[in-house]
Amino acid sequence: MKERPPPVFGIPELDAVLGPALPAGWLGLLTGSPGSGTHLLAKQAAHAAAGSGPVLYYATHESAAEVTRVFESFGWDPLPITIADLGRELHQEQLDRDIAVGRARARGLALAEAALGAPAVPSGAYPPSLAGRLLTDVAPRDAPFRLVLDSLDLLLERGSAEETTRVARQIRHQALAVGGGALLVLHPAVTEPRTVALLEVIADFVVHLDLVEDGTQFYPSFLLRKVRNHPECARRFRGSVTGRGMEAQF
Amino acid sequence: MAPPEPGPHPATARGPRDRCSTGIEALDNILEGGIPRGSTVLVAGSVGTGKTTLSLEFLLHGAERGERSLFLSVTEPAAKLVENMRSFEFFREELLGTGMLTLVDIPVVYERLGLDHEEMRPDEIRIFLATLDAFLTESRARRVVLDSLTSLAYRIQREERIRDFMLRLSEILTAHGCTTLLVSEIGPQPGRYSLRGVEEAIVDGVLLLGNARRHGDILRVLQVIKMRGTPHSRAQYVVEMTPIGLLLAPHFQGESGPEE
Ligand SMILES: Nc1ncnc2c1ncn2[C@@H]1O[C@H](COP(=O)(O)OP(=O)(O)O)[C@@H](O)[C@H]1O
Ligand SMILES: [Mg+2]
Repeated sequence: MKERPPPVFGIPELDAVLGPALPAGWLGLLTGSPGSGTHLLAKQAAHAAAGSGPVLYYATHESAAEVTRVFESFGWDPLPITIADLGRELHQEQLDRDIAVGRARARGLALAEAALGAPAVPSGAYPPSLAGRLLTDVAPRDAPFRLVLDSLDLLLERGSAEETTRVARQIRHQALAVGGGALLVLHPAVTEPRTVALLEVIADFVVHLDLVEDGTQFYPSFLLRKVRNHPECARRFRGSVTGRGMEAQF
Repeated sequence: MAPPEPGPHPATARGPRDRCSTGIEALDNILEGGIPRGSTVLVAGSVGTGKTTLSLEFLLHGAERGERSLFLSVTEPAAKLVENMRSFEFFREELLGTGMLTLVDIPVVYERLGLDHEEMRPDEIRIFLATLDAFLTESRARRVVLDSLTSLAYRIQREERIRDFMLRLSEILTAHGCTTLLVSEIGPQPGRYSLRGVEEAIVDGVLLLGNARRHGDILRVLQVIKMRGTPHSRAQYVVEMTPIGLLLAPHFQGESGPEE
């Protein structure tokens, strides 16, 4: 008997609609405007899968410590989550490399540094490809995993739209093969419309978050705008944030 | 002036010091003892015609005779070249350790100097050439091979930049007085010896390697197209690659089909 897959977001109303409609392995897209709660919802989606298998959380705008602090503030245990601060990794490695190159250019290269038997260029002197990093983490998996990438911005900025959609397809393919799910956060306001559209085509579902003004109050609004093969599932939820995370009412 | 005495090495009349023996006996004979010292020679040919093998033999021969030799490899990792050289009976491992033969991985230079992107900007071309200049100074190389000029030049797409690059490269090689083979990768079509055309302008000589068909076999052939300061035959020779190096034999055109 197979274990039931973990909920997608840990928001019962939303999970009740999504869960039955999704395949055993899926790729979801979470879009939203800044301030609408995408960072929080991304973390909640990681927490929702805690204990069910490996959970990988990739932050690009926050440090690992900040992510951990947010988890703790909602009473979510950060320990089962593997948190990677991709922004820091990439910027640090880029910085290390720029410094190494600058020094080599200034002093000149010795023959021994490039001749047969030269010591390898210290690793970290190369900026790794973000796509490569994600795929190396995901490709060897043979059991359900949960991956949350907050957000695709860095991949789009460092790579290309083509690379980004290719990585999305490959991650989805891997999720389909071994089970589990991947949630990718995307900020449409800073992304080419064509790329947004293409990622929406690739994704099994798309949730869009908005911040709605209601008099002097603001509340998040969830729009479940695509579920593959289930157009009847599309709907809007009114959200709120409590001490336990985000909640939603249909 | 008395005419040079007839003999197998007429170059001895001029003094072998002026000539850089390639180690390939028949080629040395065609060239009156070897490549004129200090010249830059294009070794042109399509893939698999033996450009790298000929270049390695040229350097090994020099290193054996105490001439410091430098192989600048763009296309193949230096470690793989060592493997190739082991197929020569006369290859001795010590040549590598003693600095007589130095193999440089150009991609490592790109990486370390941050030049590892598709197109080099003018300041990056300057950095690269300054590095080559420094390598020549440090290695005190008498013989140099660049394999290949084509793949190096691939990173310089603009016409005016490639021209400047070639001229500057030629100046550097001349200033160091090295005898240089520049490998040129070309398609199998006859008539051209380099991809961009400008390469031919900076060299003193052109060796053309190619394929020829004979009785359904495909033979490797070599031809001296040009060698400044050397009256030479322009005949095609059949090249045989053997553990004792490249062997040349006259190619009887009557037996051959069209050039590949
Ligand atoms: N000593 C040898 N005996 C027989 N074949 C050889 C020898 N050395 C090299 N070859 C073969 O000759 C071919 C051409 O070699 P190479 O010099 O690399 O050509 P190019 O540099 O023009 O592409 C290769 O396939 C190689 O395996
Ligand atoms: Mg070659």
